[in-house]
Amino acid sequence: MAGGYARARGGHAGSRPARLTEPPLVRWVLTALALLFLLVFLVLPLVTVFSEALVRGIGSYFSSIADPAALSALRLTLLAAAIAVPANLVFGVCAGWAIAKFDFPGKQVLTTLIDLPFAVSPVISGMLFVLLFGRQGVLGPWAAEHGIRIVFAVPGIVLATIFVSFPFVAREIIPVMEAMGTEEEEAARVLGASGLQTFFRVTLPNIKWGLLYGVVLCNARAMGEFGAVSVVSGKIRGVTNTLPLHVEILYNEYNFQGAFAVASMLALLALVTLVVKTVIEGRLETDVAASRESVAGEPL
Amino acid sequence: MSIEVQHVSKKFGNFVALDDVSFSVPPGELVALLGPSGGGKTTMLRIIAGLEAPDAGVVLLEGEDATERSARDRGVGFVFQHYALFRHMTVFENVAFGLRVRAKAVRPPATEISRRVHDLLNLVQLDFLADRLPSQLSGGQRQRVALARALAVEPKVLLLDEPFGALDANVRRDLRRWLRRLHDEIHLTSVFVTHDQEEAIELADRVVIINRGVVEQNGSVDDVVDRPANEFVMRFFGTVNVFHDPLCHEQVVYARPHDVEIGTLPGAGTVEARVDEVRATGAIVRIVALASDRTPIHIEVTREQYQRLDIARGQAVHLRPRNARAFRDEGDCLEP
Amino acid sequence: MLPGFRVTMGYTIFYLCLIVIIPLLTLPARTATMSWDRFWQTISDPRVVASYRLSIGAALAAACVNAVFGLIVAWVLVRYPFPGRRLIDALIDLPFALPTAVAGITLTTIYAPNGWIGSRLEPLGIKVAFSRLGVVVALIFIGLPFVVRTLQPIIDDLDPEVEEAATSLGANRWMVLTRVILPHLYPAWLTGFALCFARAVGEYGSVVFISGNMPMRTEISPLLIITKLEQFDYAGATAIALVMMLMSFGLLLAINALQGWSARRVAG
Repeated sequence: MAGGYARARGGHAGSRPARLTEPPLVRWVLTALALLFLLVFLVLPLVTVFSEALVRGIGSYFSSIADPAALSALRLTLLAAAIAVPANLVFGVCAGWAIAKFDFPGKQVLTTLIDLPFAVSPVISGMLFVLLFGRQGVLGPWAAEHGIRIVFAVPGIVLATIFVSFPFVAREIIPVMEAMGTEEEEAARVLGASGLQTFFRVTLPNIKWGLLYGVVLCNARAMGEFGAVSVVSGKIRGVTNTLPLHVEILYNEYNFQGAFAVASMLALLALVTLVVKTVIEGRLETDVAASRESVAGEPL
Repeated sequence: MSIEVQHVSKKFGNFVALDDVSFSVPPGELVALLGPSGGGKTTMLRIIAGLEAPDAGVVLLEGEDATERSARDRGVGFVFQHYALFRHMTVFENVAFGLRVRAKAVRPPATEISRRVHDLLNLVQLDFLADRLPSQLSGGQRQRVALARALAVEPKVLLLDEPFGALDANVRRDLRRWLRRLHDEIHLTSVFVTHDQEEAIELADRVVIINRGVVEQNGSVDDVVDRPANEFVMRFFGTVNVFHDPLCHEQVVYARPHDVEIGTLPGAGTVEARVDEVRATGAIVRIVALASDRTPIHIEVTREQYQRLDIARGQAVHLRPRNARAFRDEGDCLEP
Repeated sequence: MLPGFRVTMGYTIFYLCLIVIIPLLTLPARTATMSWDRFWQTISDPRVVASYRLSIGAALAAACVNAVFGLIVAWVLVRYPFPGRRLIDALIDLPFALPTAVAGITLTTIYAPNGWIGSRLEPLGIKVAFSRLGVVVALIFIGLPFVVRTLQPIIDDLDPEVEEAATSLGANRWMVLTRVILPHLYPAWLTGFALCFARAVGEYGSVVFISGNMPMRTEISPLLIITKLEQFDYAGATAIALVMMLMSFGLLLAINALQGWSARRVAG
């Protein structure tokens, strides 16, 4: 099971001897190609978000952001993330503990199941909840009877958000917990620590970077989800709109500057995510390497 | 506290780690679980500690059945092969851990904990490193911290899993002597696992030899070295020569290299062999002679004896085992 | 023996069932209520088939572009130190962190006839926004990190001694690259390609703005699903979704197998 997508690597800072690298001309051409590709596909879009947001000046920018509909969309986005991230965090920790510290049949099946939401297209993810709770859905009539509105209301959005951001924390925690082995926890146990004491005093400090990394990724996905939430929300302005949905609404109304202003908030969130991610990655690699050094093989 | 293991068996999948193992550890003794790697010793130790559950059998601690008790409630101290120190805690915090996690009712006040920790660190001569992290310590130092940590909770039994396995030869020797002195001071019932017979001989009061999940012999150090119970034990403690009784080929006896008489003339009960190698280093001369079926026989004689013999490579000699041991009665060989 | 297995395993299974399994089960459950004829009718409708072709075809094209350029980018980032490399390296994950809707409207703006790049291509007769090319462009953006990130660790771990050995045996640089290094990268390269492809097939947010959504031409399958849901044709939506899911699962299995193969090759 892959733990998150592959980490960025720093590469070798020193230069290689001439016989082990390509001739300078080739190096220049390849570098230029790479940079051009990245310029067009990464830098340009990033810059455009902000330039379009500010196209009518700063004043207009801030009034778009302070618009009540935008603020309510912000609140809903934050609410969905505030529920989804902790819920998936608790799940990730439990799944990590069960999978990394114990041996049982069907582990592979379990980790594949945890990866499932990745394989499901966002629109289908949202659709599943409509099938479950929508008017003609399996539990639809039951929900209607009890006056509980799930689809086209906040609960549906929260559920869809939990679904799409579900695997992130678990996928990051499990490899880190597996790398640290079980000996420290066993030592704590023999010394008299309870289960919770063992987890908080021994396990948690060792997995904190992996945990943080997973939380950051989970949060980015939760706040930025569009397709799944699009299906479930009903897009009722001011009530069931998240920030990404609000961007769509403004754009479809040809309020481009407004759409980009709201989009720029999300872009800023993305940049913060990238920064935090990079910082944590460095710590994480050191941790995992140190774990592998001090862990014993299987006892017999 | 005394330990008694009765009829313990354990399988991992299809692999039999322990098969009907029984032995006891009298209170205050230092016992070695000795045997080749993969033989089941560590599994046995972990079962005593409560870190594994046996498939069958019981573990008695101080006469009471502790098999169902969790590792937390057994009052044992465990020192792991690779120390298992809490890598994000200082040396002090590591040693204090067992005292700090106690329930409020039985937890000593912080000052008391601090005193005990420093006492223990002084015992293992590491008090000056109290604020360091495990990553800043050498292997030998880490091992001593692991020991101090295990002793901090005043266990009634100390279990050590290949405690010196990961250390340099010199460090190992020093720590061995130090552990023996420590044990002589505090007389804590201790069981340690090792695959090094020298270590077992030097440290332990008694030795339990476990091979492939089965107890081969259980006795004092003298017992296992001088009075081995079977071929395996004998081979474990040194080179062994196999002789067949010339009159009854089924009867097999075993003799140590220094228990083989070598001479140039045949006699009663001698076996003929041809000298293949002679290594005259130091006070002992080692001779390898090949018997008629090409099996090598290892002989050790003193320098003096060798000079008196005056034998050369390729020469025929006549060997007779002394103090030979027979372990099995194979077949019936009746004199006509 | 550590504590807490029952509690954590229990909660894990409970949460998994609640959030993932039960919702997923509604899909086959719903499909089962449909008659085979109805099912076949829905998924073989020309408009639907056109959407499959677009979703898959564009995803494939984008994955190929990312495979080529991803390799170059990964190589350059690992092997050629240049100022600002760390910054660029961190930026690679932008498509992963940026909400798809933001990507969607931004790419549309750039490639529209009056956009930065669109306006330069228009005189050449190349239309990007509101065409199939636009869909491919959006999918290239979305899948960009996958090939790069799967290749980087492998390239980083390449043993210089192997290259030295090849050089000392007389190989020129080109031969070393194509006969020694490239074969070593194949498994990771393929994995990155497959991941990129899988991601792109079901993509919605970044594509739906730039595509123009013209039926039979630039309509992607996820959009069709939404359309059917809005018409309360749950059955129709489910049918299309099922076909997409089967494709995704097939891809997921292939990816897992590839990663297993890749891991065995590296270890051996």
